[in-house]
Amino acid sequence: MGLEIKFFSLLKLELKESGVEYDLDGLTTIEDLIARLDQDYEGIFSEKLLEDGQIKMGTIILVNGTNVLHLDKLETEVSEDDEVSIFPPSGGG
Amino acid sequence: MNFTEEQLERYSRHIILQDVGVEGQTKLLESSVLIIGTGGLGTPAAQFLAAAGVGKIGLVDADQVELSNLQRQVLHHTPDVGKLKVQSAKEKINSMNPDVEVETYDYYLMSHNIREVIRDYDFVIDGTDNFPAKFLINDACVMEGKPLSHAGIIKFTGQTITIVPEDDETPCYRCAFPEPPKPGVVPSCKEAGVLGVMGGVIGTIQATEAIKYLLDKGELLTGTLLSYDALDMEFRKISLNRNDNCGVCSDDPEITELIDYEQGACEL
Repeated sequence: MGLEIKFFSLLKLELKESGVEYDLDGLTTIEDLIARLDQDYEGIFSEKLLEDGQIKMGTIILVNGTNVLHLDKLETEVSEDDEVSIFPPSGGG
Repeated sequence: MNFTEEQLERYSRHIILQDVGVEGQTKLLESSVLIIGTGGLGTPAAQFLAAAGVGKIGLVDADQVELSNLQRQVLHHTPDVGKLKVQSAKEKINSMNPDVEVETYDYYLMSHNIREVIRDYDFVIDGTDNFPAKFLINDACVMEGKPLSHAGIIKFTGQTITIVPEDDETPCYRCAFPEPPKPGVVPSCKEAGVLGVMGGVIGTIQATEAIKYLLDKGELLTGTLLSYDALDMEFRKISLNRNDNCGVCSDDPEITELIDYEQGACEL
């Protein structure tokens, strides 16, 4: 098993994929993960998730159910079998 | 309480249901639910709670019915355009079920008045369409110890979570989402569109959660965000953890006064 990344809401709609699974292969932090996703998805993740090198306000990146903002932000470490969920919030009603 | 013959007939499908019965139906008739936002999420939620015989339903909305609402806001009909949404919804509920007392609030809930309004209800449904309201409602419910169903819908997607502040083990909305996005960053339904039935699916899940809470039956969506994608017809659950340093629900919260966040121009 590697790292399981799940896409939700508008992100999933845009990518037309529910998620992707990566082997860790040198990938140790959320920052590394975003760089890897950028390679595979034409830079879309940095554009959507980051602002001035930081996680954009309102962006939700969870590692095993905890927002990385409550961990070590972009430096949050990921390991084998972790589940990363990425989604923009839905505010409509 | 003693049921009338009409009530026995009206609620017969609940009464024969093992986990509801006369006792459960009595609880519903003696319960109250506040629905904040009488739109895409709020109207289907209100419709089913009223039909189920929830004794008191509070409706909050300062807006009037617009023609563009009718594609999804199912309690409002064509002749209601221009009418206050809470009035339009109240008329339909009164017609549907005379057992239900409807209280209307035709103004916006803000930091200065929300706690006083939610205090009178057993359960709160967030059917609003903007982040400042969603954070305000979460924080007010945590402060008042009121259970809450949060939800959001956009395009072909929706999500919902239930928050029970008295349960120290499960998160509030702010545990997972500490701050609202900057105004205008996340598109609203007005800008991005929303499939009409999204509010129906998610709003009725919110009503289901309210009924389950009132009946004390089943497993609530506490600590679990349910995400729905209509295009793929996919439901997924995401476990959310409580944040011990949450700004509002931790033992030593930073936020002790409610905040009126700035509203994006597109949402006004």
